[in-house]
Amino acid sequence: MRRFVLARLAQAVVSIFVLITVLFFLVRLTGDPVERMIPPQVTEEMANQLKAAYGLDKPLIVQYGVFLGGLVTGDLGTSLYFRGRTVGELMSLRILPSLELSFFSMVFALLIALPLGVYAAKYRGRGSDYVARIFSILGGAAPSFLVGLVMLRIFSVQLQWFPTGGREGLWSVVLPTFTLGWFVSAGIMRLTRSSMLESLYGDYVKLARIKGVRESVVIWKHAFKNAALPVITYATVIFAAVIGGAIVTEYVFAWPGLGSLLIRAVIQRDFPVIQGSVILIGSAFVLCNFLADLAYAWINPKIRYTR
Amino acid sequence: MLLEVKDLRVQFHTRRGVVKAVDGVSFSLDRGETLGLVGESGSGKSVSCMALMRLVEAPAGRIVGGSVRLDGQELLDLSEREMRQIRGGQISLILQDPLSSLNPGYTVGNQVAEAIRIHQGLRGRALRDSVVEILSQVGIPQAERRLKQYPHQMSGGMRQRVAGAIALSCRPSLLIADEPTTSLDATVQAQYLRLLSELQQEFRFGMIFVTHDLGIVARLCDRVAVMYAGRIVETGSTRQIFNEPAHPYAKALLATLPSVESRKKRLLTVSGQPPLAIDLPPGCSFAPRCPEVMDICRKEFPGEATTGDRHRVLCWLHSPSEEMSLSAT
Repeated sequence: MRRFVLARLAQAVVSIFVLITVLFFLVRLTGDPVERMIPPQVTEEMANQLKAAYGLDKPLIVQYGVFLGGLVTGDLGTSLYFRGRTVGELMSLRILPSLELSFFSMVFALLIALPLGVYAAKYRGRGSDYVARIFSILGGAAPSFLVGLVMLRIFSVQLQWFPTGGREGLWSVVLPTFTLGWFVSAGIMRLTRSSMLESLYGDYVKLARIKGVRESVVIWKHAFKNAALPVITYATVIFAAVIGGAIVTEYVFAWPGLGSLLIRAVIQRDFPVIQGSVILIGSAFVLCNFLADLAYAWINPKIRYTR
Repeated sequence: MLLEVKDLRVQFHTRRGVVKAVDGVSFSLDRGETLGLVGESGSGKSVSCMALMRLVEAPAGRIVGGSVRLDGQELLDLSEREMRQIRGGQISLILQDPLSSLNPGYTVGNQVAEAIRIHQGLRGRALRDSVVEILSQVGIPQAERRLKQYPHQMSGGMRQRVAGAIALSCRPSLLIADEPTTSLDATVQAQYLRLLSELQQEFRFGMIFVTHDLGIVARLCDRVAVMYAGRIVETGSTRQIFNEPAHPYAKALLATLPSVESRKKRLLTVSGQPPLAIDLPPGCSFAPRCPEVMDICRKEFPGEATTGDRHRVLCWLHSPSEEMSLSAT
């Protein structure tokens, strides 16, 4: 088991390094940030001074070295757009709200999607199956901005149960959580359902029934444990994606998360902020995959011993 | 009589129509006796076995009629809760494929313990001892050490022994073995069969052995039931069936058995395809493939004829008198 963990850890480190490198060069293909920073009438000379100040005049490979060196010491650079503010400072304000929203959304999504998927599979082709599937199709198909706006209209404006936006107190997280969670639950529910269908018709489930095991134990102990594998992978990947990618939901509810920071940085060609955010989101992604692998090995002993 | 099955009927409701997978099956079994259930794939062998445990896939599949009595108790009248006590307790079943029938996510010890815990209420030390005991009884060496192993860490033969241990852990009075040796190689298969008969002598359970291997039937079974299209078309002692098969299908099946003398010839087959259980012909289901078919076979289903002591057959060749006696009354 220790070898397995170490091997996965090494893979994770390599993945992050590749991500950082590719990211650094890709971002620089998008154009010159200085053009966006200065008014058009500024002279060439002043522009060059500005470039020099941010180290943008040096050859790419040198910039890359400086960037890597900064990373090692935890210095992600200074924002080109929010002058004088470091990337670390900008991001630290956004991480907590992002984690909060994605965590609550995932918990909400799993609480809904897992039982719904399991029972939809169990009662395939019957009423509850259709209700579950319609719920999931709506969640996946309805755009987040629409769901978000409808939620706001009903619960914030008319009923005044929740604030209309921003992040103040626990109540403010409810509507964004529901909006994002419903969307996320759609995929998880469908995957749970199809995975359970496969597992419910497996011989080991048949054997459990033959042994005289109660139906609820047959479903949750015997069928679900095996059906959970693809669901875990999918859920962790989605979780990672949601941390930095809940852009629409963040926008509708004026939620101060990483997604909105990243979008603004892309529009402004704010290289350091883009780099910082993507590295953070990417690392979260790699970390989630690593955790998924561990969970996999825990659930499926085959993986533990054969690799 | 340990088991008495009368006119058991199982239907599956599919989009294309009603499939009569088991259509009036009757047989009986004594304690310590082994009945071989033979027939082609899709003839209803496995469904019959699952129906004895009332494990037909709902909602499509349903037991629509008949009677299953175990030690005189009618199983079809029991509640689901009472039936769970029977499953794994009094009736056990060994499935075909030992790899897929054990749960990959739990240790062997856990899976054997489950049935014992449910039916005998053992816990802790006593449960563990009981698991080790049954594993040793099915011939698993160093059973103590195997408890913590997962199915994938064992060979096919060992896994099938584990499946046997699970089935026998609660000392059932009836064991159903649904082609338990099909996926094992020949030597392991022979060992396993020997083990089953030894255990049967020790525990005195009645056994239904489903197979399409007539060689196994000859070695292992006291009596044979030949299934075709959801019905038992012939049943009798193994000797009766092998020496004087009455039904043309049973004759054809036996003719497919290769022997040393026939090795230069082509292997024989039963010609034609088994019928789809969805639209069975009006008369005898075997009529389209039968070499001895008569006019009446295509029109009416034959009644049961007795050709010897507990030797019964469903065929017009042997029951011409039935029709006359019917028309006489």
